[in-house]
Amino acid sequence: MLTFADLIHTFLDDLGLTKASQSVQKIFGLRLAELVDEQIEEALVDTLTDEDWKTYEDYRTMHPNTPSDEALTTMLMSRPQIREVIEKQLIALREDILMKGAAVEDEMK
Amino acid sequence: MSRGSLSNEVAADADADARYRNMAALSDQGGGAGVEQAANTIFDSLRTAADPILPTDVVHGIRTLRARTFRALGTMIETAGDDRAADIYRLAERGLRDTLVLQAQAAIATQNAGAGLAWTRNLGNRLGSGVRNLVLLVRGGGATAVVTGSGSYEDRLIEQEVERQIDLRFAGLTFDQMAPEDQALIRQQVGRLAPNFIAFDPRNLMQWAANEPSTVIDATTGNSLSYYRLVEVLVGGDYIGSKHTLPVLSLMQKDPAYRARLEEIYNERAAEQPVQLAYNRVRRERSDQDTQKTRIETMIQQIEGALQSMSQIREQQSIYISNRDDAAAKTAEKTALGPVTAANNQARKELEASERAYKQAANTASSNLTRLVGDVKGKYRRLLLAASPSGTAFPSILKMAAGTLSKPTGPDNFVNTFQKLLDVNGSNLGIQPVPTGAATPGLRDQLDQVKDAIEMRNEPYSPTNQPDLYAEGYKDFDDLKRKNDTASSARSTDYVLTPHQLTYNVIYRQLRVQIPPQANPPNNAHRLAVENAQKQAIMETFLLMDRVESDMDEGSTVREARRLSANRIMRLMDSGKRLSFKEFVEDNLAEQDLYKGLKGLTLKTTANEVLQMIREERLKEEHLPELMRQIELLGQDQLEGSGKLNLEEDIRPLHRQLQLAWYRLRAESMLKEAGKTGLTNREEVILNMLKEKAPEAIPPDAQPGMAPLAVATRRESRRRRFFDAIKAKIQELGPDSDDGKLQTRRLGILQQIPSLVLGDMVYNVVANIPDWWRRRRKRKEAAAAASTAPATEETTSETTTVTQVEAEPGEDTEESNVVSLNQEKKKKKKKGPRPPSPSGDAPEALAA
Repeated sequence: MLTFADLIHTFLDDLGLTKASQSVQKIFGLRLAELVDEQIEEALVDTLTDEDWKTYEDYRTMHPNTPSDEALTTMLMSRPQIREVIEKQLIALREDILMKGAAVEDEMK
Repeated sequence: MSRGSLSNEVAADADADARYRNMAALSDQGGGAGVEQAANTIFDSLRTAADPILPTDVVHGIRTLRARTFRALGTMIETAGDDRAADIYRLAERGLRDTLVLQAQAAIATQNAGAGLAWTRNLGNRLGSGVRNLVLLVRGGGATAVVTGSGSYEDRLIEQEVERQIDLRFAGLTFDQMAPEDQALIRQQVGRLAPNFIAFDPRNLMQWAANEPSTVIDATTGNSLSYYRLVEVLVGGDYIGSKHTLPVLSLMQKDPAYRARLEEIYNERAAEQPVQLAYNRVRRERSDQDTQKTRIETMIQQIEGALQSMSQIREQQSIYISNRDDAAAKTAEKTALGPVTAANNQARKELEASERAYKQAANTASSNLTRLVGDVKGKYRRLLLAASPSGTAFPSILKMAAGTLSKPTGPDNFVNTFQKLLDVNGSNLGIQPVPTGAATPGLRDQLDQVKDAIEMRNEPYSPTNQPDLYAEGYKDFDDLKRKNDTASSARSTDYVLTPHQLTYNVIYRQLRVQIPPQANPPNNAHRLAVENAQKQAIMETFLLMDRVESDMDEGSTVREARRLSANRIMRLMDSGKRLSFKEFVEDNLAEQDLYKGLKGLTLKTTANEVLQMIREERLKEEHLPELMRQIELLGQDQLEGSGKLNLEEDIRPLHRQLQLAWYRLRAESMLKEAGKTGLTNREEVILNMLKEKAPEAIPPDAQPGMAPLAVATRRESRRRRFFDAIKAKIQELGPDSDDGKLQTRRLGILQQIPSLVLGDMVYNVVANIPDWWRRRRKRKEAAAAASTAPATEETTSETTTVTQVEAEPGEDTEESNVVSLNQEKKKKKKKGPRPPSPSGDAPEALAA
């Protein structure tokens, strides 16, 4: 299964940075991770409803001793639209990154 | 500017309010249910402030009305000592601030036109007549974007400052702590809720309603009901103190006859007849049966779907185990090999290759397995949540299922458990209550039982199947329904209305805004109402334009707003006919002062051509974001359904070109500044670019008819709700919480999302390569291959490429782009400014 690291690696590859030094990759990796996080946050802001939060609360009530991420997983899995919106946001982010890379490349020629 | 004409604004808003009510009344012409539907639509609009079918200016009016409603509600709830008041105040503050920001920005724009940046001292005049007219004009014409500016740095500064000023004035203050003039402002705003009444203090009204006894006696307590309680019962507890009930309460306070009428209605409702009681009970039972049938059928369908996935899981498990064991065997063989010899080395290599292949296959199967397990878990979690909202049976099944599916016996456990739900005991899903000590049948049997009951319910009543109803003299359900209808028709019209209908009817009757009945009511009353509202909005805007022209001259800002409004109005009036892109450019864009040089803009314009326009000063760089916004607006118009253009195929590519041009301008400017860090110039520029946001992308959730401002406002309100919700959970979600401040923003959310959820999304994002990028990369590879070709070919490559490009009209290539840019740079060295390039380097063009 692909992980978050794979996503960042893909973005680095899109920007032609996979052969850069480790420290440079780390700098870019952090920035890209922030961007991904922002997009997911945006998507959740746009998508989550009171019903979704109720799902979360129900789970927490029923499972007071489990980690909160299980409740979050339940909430995110409870409605496919949530993941669809996140996915769309990430696809749009990737295109934006690609355009920025293309713009820099064109200007440097 | 004087403040005396503020009453005109009040009157204008009152007109707007009346217009929304008229819409509901118009809907009523289509039938009795229309009123309730329209009332619900408007109420929902007040809640979400984003009804896509309403015109932009109506949405805007609703949004401000909502803010006022919340404000009034907050005041009343605060008076009642209710804790929710703070939340409602916060919502209201946001809405009120939106209005004030708009007004203040308009004041700033006005002042900037004549007096540079000396706007701060004019904030106090923001309610003056000039500003008022301008704001109304802008609202009416939907041309907010022009007044709020082009999103420039200066605009942002101004906006921040205005926000700060308003924060200073309102933030953290209760109504009583506010300055008297602010209290007066809020009272005025609240007063507009009931257009034909004078402004009133809702707190007094609510206190009056709570303390004033009616003539209705509560049967259980023997005491008089207060008017507050009376209205609460009549219109439903959820609506008390809302926009719907404020005018009702105000009417009650003023008019004894109206109070008496409401008491009459209440008494009539209280005296329910036995036939109504019996009919309502039977109707509820029938409705429960129908619901139960649907729920059970859905459950069965979902469980069967999840069970089908089990065979796939088993298959992947078997592939995984087999390959894992084979890989382990190869590892053992490798370890067992003897000393280092040529033969052993060869054997070791072969074993390693084989081991890698098995591991690879095992990994693939493992990935597939994880994904399938994730899907199934998602399915049955949703299933269980849907089935058992109270969660009674949820924990045990979930505990069993969580984490066990990927184990060898997991699928069998899963199948067994759910098979039992289907065939042995369906009560775990909470469909039916579990009788003590009795076995509950499986879902399939339950479904049969419900179906039998549904089939039986139309049978004639008998002493065995419906003893009570039979004893009361009803032959069957049809008989009961007929008798109930007869009893109902004897009731007054008000009695049978829903709370919404009651409220609206009462308001309309009292305000005398009833619409005369039409001989032939239109079939689509709601659509007609919307069209009428549009026409009214158009007329109002024309009137406003006249008023602005005759009263004042606010300079170029007003003229620009007027021109844009006119264009938008023309489009509204001509709603059946959409503009072609050429018409849009010539009749709309090129008519604006900022974009006079854009007559050549087409849907195929490339980023290079945009840059060329900028170099030729046909378009100013700082106006590019605004141009992008205009294209977005066009895209939103097309989304309305009857557009000639396709958003994805026609408009978004052009938007992308403009965005690329913007990025190239930014990259060019950053390159000049580069060299300040330890990174290479390219890395430094890319990093800086990643820190910049796109100027204004088309919102992914854009809906027809929603202006950017409405989209932004809706997003802002959702964002607020999201953070309110997540703030409460900060102790759980955020690794670091700082006395209530939100710290989960960056990386916090992501850390909480497990790989299970992220996995599929990442896969799809990685797999989703934009077409233009794919083609561009292919071209790069081809170019790289060509550059390694024999030197004899290389010597002629440049001229050959150019010739080839010219031979393919309409096809811009990367080579042509490279050549043209190289030529440009050479020329630039000689002549100074960058000359225009004939070719496009935009993603689509490059990739062609």
